[in-house]
Amino acid sequence: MRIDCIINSKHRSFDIDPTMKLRDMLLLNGNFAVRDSDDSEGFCGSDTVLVDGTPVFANLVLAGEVNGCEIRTPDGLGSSQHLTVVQQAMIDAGIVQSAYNAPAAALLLTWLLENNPNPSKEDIKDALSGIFIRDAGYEHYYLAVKLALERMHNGSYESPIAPSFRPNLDVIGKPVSKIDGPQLVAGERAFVEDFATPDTCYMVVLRSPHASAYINSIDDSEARKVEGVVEILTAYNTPDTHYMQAGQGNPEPSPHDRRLFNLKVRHVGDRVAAVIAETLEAAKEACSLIKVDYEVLPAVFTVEEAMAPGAPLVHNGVVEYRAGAPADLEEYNKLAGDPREGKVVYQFPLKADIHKNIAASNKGEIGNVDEAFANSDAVVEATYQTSQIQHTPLETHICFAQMQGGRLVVHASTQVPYHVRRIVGWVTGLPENKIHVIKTRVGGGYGSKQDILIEDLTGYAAYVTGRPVLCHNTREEEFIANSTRHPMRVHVKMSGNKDGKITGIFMEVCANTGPYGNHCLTVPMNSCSKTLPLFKCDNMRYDLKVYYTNTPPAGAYQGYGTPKGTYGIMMAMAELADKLGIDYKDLVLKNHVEEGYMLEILKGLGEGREGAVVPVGSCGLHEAIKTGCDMIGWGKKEISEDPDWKIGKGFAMIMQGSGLPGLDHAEAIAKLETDGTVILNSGGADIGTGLDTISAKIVAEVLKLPMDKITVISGDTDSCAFDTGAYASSGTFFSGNASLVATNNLKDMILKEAAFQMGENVEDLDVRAPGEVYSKKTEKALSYYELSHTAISGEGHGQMIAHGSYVTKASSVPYGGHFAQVAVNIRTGEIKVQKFYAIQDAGTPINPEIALCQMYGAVMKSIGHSLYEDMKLDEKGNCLTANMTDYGAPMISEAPEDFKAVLVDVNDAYGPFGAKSISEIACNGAAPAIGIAIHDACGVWLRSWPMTPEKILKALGKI
Amino acid sequence: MEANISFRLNGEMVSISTDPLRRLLDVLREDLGCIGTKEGCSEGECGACSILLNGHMVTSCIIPVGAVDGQDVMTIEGVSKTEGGKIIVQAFADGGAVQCGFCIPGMVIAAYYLLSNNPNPTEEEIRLGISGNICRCTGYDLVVESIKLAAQRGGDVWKR
Repeated sequence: MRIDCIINSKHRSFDIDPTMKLRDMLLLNGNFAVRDSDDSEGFCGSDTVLVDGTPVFANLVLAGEVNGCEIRTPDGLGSSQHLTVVQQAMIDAGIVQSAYNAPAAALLLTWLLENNPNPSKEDIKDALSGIFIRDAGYEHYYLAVKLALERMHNGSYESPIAPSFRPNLDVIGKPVSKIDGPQLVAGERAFVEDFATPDTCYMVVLRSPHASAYINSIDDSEARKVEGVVEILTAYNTPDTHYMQAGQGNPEPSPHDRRLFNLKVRHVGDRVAAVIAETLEAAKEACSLIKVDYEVLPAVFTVEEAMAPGAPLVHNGVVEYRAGAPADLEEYNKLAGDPREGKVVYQFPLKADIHKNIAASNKGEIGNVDEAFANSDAVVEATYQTSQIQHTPLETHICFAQMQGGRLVVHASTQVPYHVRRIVGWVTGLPENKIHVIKTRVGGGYGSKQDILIEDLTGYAAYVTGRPVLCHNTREEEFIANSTRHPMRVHVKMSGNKDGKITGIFMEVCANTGPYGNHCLTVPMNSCSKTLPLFKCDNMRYDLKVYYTNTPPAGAYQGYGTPKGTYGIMMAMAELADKLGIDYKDLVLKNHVEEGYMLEILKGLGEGREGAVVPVGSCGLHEAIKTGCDMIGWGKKEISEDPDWKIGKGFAMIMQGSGLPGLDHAEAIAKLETDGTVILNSGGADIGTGLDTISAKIVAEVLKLPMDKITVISGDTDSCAFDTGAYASSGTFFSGNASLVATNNLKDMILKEAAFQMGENVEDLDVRAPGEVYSKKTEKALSYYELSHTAISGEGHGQMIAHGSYVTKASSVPYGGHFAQVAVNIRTGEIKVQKFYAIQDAGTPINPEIALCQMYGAVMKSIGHSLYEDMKLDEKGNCLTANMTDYGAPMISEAPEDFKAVLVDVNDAYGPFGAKSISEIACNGAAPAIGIAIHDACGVWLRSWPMTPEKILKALGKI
Repeated sequence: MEANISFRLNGEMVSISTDPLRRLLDVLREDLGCIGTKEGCSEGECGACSILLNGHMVTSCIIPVGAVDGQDVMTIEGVSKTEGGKIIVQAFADGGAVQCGFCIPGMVIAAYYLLSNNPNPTEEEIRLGISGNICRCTGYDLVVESIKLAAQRGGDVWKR
């Protein structure tokens, strides 16, 4: 049937089935920025378009309905070279980060301002009520509207965008438009899905319906008859290589406990087979025709079930060690069960015992905790339980791989391009020189894209079929077959004296890693190593055990164990203050660490190796707490006019790290091009966080070049050099420092070559804007253009290319205080976050506007797990909330009424230009701050997240 | 915008000329007289408009009629004339499953679909089977009991 319509002012006709989805029709027209993020559920708003001036979800409208209509799509607003005022304001406000939904948001804001030239906060909230933003929060959307209106009316911005830092520097510490912002907000080719070729084959994975089962046989004969099927992969035709999917440094502190396909499935959603076909429909149909004979086994879903005597074992195969094998290994392996169990291979001992479902364990102590407990005025002891939650990046996991010239080229949405290359190399058997990983723009990572969850299989499929292969997870697969935050039980015992001194702390952590051991040791370690060092306390002990279960897999998630440890330890501290009759703020101020304090507790808390006793470096903790207490009016009781609503306040101190000292490694290559501009190749992975902009600012600052003379190429394993990747808050600190080292080295080369060309001494030369070398002695100048041109014109010394490598033993720790004021309805149990103030020390915030938005975004994620988000499983291990609507991630209407992010000015000794990390830490504070505020409001301690109305009413004895 | 649409309805071929984007529910009720199919929520949530499309249970309020061209549609009018359908209808009546009755055609479709695919369902499977059908009168228990009754009475009927 013929459909005539106008798309972005152009007449278009389509001869199509009118029941086709509007989005599919728009894709035919090339409007690829109309995306699907929620299995066409109408939640995320990535598919927003305007039909005759009304916003609709293009996945929920039929093509036939738009016959004769005028349609506007996000890519019709303005191109990256000619941005509209709204698009530019969004970039300048700092909200164009991972940006999968930024084009749709730009369309909505444009629509709003066209229809309402003076919108209120409520109007903006209403306009954005159907769009889900996970990266940057919603606060700076209000700012973007304000900036756009100011520029429309007066030609320029009047409102401040973000505070500026370091007046002596030109671009560092100042709001400067993010360099990849234009491409992203305009909806141009940026993400993996935009690079698939017309001959692409689609891969669909058949997943286990059982939480635990052996596979007796797989019959794919009917499936192979489906027209268009290229190959079907199962455990029977793929390599026996054992590996793991965690994107960690090699050797990894995670067991190699899986293969591409296993003959034992260990969770609902585990891989059983993969169909590669010429169309998505054929792949799905073939999947449905594969017959699998399962031998269903009993399963365990909680750490309590996993640790019970005689519990079913998640792994019961042969154990191997690459290093440090115990003497009784041969004896231990006599217990191994069915050969279909496969193996568990440790790179080094993790203190595991698969016959007790223990994936890893660790413990340590300083001082004498038991003695401290026995001799203190008060002791509290409580258990805090956290639920399983999912990152829900707007862009679900996706990979596109193809063979080119005998090499495997992998387009990946990843935080770890070099780990992807290594692991794809393991499963294909290809050496690293035969694999090219290209990190595209990443539509949200938050730790879930630290793991190699689909690149292994997609890379292998492209390699064995020789066909281009695209694999794109559904939203449901994100929940059941990706990675999640480890559910954890944190038991805290804490003692103190009436003088306000905390005397002893014991943390016992039981974590649920699910069926495979990705990050199984280090996430729970972080629960202790990023919380205990907040305290000046001589007696501390931790004991952690991590259990295998048959839940959906767990892995890295922003905060990496710390949100859970912080929830337990700060709630316990508030409970101790209550018991001692001391104001919680006074207890915090008396016991928090400060610069120079030696952290004995870290000696046992390394990342799978020995830790080191280090002093606290730059530390804005005290100022953050003071600032937050002043802002929220600590100590002043707020009373609601409605007697059902009780108001309370709470806060938590927080910390994280800036990469992994002694483990992380970053490299960069800075090149002076022939016209005097610079291309910097950074191994670092910008996942929307502004890391490329940081690298560009570093070059601009050191070489005194304008930003538009600098291009950053990053995360491309062919053209860049090794970097461990964007995780553990390492981006700014490690990759940024590598860019700094490379640029400093380039500057040295420039000065040396200039000295030769100018006939001057190097000591007399320096660089200045807008990119030239000058002599402090003779005042002669030489532009980078002339310098570079001469250097490559037949007689020079060649192109100036400098390499920078960065490693360190230094630990630069960001600190902060997160403050909440909540209202609790004691009749209904409803909880409202009235105020949330996030006060953080990020060292020098290199991109202050982006930093603030990352704080807002991280707080929104953590308000999500504190109050709403929960992956609920039934008794057979099926996730009942594997879609966005049922899962409950917060939207703009759940944002705190009064929400502020504040950067404390601290200069760090080791970070590039004094910078520390910013984003990950901001996930740590909400749960304890809200939990403590709930107690202040209505007198109950909610010791499990999410803190729901039902739990409030139960705690109040009302149900 | 009209198109010729033909499909099998309760075993008989029907042909109509209509806007292919009209809801199947409306076409069934207004053009084809199948008023047993009810409209509850209009958004695929309540199950009152359930029908069988190529043997699969779907909600007809969110399906454009153009999508069933050449397909096989069974409504409550057809299902209640089958041997199994008769057993379910009688079991619902005997078991006290019917109060206001508005949801019942959809419930019968759900029960028919369930028992056709699973002749001996557990109570949990029955509850899962009607989890897409909202009933505000009965509290579901008697519906579940009636489906158990239909399973028992049907015996071999469901195994064909």
